[in-house]
Amino acid sequence: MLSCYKATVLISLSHERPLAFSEKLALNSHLLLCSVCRNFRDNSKTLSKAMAEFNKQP
Amino acid sequence: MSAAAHCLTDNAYLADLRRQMLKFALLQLRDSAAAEDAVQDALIGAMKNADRFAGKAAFKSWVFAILKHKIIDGIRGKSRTIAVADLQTDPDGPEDFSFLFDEAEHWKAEHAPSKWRNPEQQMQNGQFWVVFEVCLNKLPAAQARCFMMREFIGLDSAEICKELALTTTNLHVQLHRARLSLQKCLDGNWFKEK
Repeated sequence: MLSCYKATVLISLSHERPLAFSEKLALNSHLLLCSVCRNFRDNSKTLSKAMAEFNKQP
Repeated sequence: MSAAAHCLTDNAYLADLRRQMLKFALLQLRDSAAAEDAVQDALIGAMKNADRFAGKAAFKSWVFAILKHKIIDGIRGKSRTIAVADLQTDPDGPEDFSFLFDEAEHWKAEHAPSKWRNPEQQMQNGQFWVVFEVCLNKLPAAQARCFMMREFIGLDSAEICKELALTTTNLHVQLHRARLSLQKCLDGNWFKEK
């Protein structure tokens, strides 16, 4: 079972490149059981959206 | 006079644009003199060719494209000293974020990321962006630079590694740390307050 730290590494990595099958498998089985890392995954997506919006702010 | 040339005679528009450019440059260069220089150079470059641009939106994206190049030139000039120094004080591995995780590398309860409610709605709030900018400014310089180049300018990993003379692994470490730090900061200073 992946640790939460390693799950956050893979979540961050998924923003940079498509994950390999084994990485996806390990991450998804962790996320299935870990709501905190699901929050981290969702918040990382929000962060990307916020960065894209940031430039439009006066 | 073209629409873009007209932009350059609109003082309020120009002041606003200049402020945005400065904010953008300062976050990446971390040096107000260097940021002022980059913005000035980009604006002068823009004025020379203002006639070629049809509207304000096209003009703005073009000015930012010029600024981006000025910033990359500025970073390239000092990246080796700064980025390497930051990387050296930043050992790899979870020990750097040990305050977030326990010995088994699981989240400590008090630092676990919360579920962010209605983020789109939060982004409508002007105060959110004040907090957001404070959090960006709190990032160590190397992390902020990598994160801004990746998520704000939208360069891909290969380009950033080339510009900053980083390995892909180093870049991914920096981006992971930036995401952890920014989430922690926004979580504590905005989302948990709501």
